[in-house]
Amino acid sequence: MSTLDLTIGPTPLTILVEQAFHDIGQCIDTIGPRARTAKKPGIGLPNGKSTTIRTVSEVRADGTDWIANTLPRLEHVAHLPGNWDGRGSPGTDQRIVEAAVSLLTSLRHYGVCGVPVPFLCPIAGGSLQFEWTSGGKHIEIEFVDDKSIVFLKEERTPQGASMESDEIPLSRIGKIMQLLDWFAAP
Amino acid sequence: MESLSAPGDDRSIADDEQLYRGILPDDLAGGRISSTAFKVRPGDHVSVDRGSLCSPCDTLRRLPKSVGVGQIIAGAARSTPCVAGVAPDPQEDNPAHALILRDRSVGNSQWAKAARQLALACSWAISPPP
Repeated sequence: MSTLDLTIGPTPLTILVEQAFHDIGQCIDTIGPRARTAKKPGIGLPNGKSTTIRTVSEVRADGTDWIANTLPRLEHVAHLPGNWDGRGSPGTDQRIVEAAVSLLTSLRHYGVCGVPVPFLCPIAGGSLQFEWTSGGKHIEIEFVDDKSIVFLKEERTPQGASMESDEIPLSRIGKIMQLLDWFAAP
Repeated sequence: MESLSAPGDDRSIADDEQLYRGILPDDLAGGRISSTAFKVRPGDHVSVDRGSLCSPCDTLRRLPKSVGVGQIIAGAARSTPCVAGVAPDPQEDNPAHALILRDRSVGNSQWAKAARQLALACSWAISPPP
């Protein structure tokens, strides 16, 4: 299995991710067998703190590899320049990027497994959206700002289609986990 | 940004007229058109080009960052919940410009459904290269 270091480069996002993974490192250690991860020696951060870098192969040990594999795309979206859409949109709001990293960190903390890597699309105006589609199921998580999201849950069956959407605080992590559990269920 | 003007539905755009929307590489989710192609903030509207006044190639040329052009008929856009209508919005450099109007009274969660439905109703006029 190839190993990809989560260090993306000397960018603000890298620091964010490093800090996020560092913040949850101790919590993961307490989860038990689900999180058989090995720590690498910490590296220095500009604020003088050290951090722990994990690798994709290590993350796979607890089934949350989809989160690590989302980061390169998030980095791309985080660094979109102004007018990336040719219609005058600003680049992605860094507060929203931080919120997205925070959400991924929380989902990893709670060990949300079995979810494919989402499509991650920027939204005109400076936001972004995670999107999952498989079979008749579809989920979108759109950041309204750094404190709230809009989710869209769609299911298509031979009998018809149903859609549910709501705007909720980002802090309602349980609802987001519920959505992803529904998506991951057979 | 998308136009901030707020015209009402204009029936000079017939229900069977095609509307073209430039699709960016970042609007693609596994080769299909993401709802993000139709997501606009409250007070904004979705920019499109009128099929009676231009070709999909014209739209592609005008928006060089696009990798393809989606098409949706005006009637389908009008019948989408939370869409207030379709209206011409000619610009000096683009007489074919028009708007799919986001109802000003709808919130973000309602528009999320509308954007998804618009994306599902949108097909390729010019598909992106493989």
